Amino acid sequence: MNDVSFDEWCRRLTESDRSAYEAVFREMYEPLVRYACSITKSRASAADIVQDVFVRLWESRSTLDPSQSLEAYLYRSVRNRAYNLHRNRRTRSDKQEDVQTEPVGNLSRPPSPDDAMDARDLERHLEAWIAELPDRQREALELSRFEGLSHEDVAEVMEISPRTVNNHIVRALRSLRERIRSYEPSLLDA
Amino acid sequence: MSRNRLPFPEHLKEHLKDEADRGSLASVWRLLGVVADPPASEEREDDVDAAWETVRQRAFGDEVSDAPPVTRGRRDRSARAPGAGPGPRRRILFGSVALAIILLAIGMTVWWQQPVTVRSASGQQISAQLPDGSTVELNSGTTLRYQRGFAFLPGLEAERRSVELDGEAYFTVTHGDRPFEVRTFNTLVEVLGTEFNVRGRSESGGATEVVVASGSVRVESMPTPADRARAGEPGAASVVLDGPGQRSRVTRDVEPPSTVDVSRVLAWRHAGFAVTDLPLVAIANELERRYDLQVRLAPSARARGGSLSLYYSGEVRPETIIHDLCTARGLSYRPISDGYEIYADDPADR
Repeated sequence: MNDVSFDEWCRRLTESDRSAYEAVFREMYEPLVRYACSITKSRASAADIVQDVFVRLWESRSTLDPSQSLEAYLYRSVRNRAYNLHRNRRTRSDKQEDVQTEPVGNLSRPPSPDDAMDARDLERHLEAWIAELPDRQREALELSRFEGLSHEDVAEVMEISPRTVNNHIVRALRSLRERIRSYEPSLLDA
Repeated sequence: MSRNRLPFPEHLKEHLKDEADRGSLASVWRLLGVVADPPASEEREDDVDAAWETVRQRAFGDEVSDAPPVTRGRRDRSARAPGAGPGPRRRILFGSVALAIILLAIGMTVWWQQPVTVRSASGQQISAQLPDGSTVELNSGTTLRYQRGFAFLPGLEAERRSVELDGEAYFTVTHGDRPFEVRTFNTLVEVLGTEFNVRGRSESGGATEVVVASGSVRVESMPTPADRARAGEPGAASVVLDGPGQRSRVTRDVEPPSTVDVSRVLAWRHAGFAVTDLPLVAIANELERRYDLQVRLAPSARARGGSLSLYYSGEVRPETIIHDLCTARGLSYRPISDGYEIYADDPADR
């Protein structure tokens, strides 16, 4: 991610630079859809949400502040919309089913040779365990481990303090550690 | 995209005192790399391209070179080989007619895509009808802009019926399957079909105020750069107003709904005048805008400070308002060439 500079893109956006807008889009579309999907459980509505957020980004480009995190702004916008639209629809039972039947973006590996079967298996298990984490733990882990947001940005997106972000991540990691230990303890010896 | 190799964060390391604990959690973190690496499959790339097309059209709706009719015209011209016509004279005529049509199409496209601006001057109140049949009444000193026909081109409707407002307006929105939205400098109001008042001016200390007369709207803040620079936890980002008299005000955050007297807020629509808890300077600005006159405040009056509420449900002359205001605040006023001056009866002012 060395060639990415959100501050620069943000500044160019305020100057109505369309190539910067396209660059931000291409860089962030998939990660944001993946993130939205973890909340909405539907790639179609996740895609709609992210597209709406981008259109709004362009429309409000003159009000952007390059000294603020554009990345956090995008994640937070997606998060707000996703929760607003789908708060009522999600139940815990839905979550588990959907993990098996509707792959979220990070699952699309091609079939692997025999000796890598274990890795694929582990991956599916980890995904299932992550989906079973309490919402806030899952979200904090997702944003920080999978979306790579800085710890200040995660705090901004989730609208909590950085200390609480730490707590959520640590608890999530501890739950996963217990799961992994029951499944295959040797994995943690690396 | 090597997110799978994200290092165990420093801030977490500091958080964990026990080495064994920290070590095993760091292992978990590393293991999660198995999940974290999404391959860039072709399918995903196509998705992004298709999504970009959609977003680009919605965002850049005003770009002439993307409009299908114009592009098609250009392609036809270049495809028409010089030797293909029936005869030189007719061919030239055909060529120039085609050119005229293309130029006309370009001209029309450019014209069509100029936003429509409706403006009321100081002292003026006007009504306008919007392309979907909705009506809007503008209070004095207000500008309203919207895409002509709520469309990019005839037949190519925009996804939303969207207007930009700087000032104060009362909307009567027809029901439709496209959402209707009003944008001020810092707020987005979304509705389906209802009647409501929006007041948003970006002058210093500006806020947007939304009051519903009937129906329901969703009010969402669009933070300005000044808002974002202010420190502190962000507050609510949106609120639903779902009944008559429901009101919210948007500064940096969206205030929770409160209930107000609708007739006060809408007094202006019946040539009345109402202000609630406004400082003198703001009241003077309101009067200037509404009645197109000067309302000068002498330093002695300005120094008095304090806020005031006034309510006139019907037509009222500005002098009456100024008179009442002065009575309430123990001030005096005198006419000047194009309005009035308000002062404190203080020898220093003479």
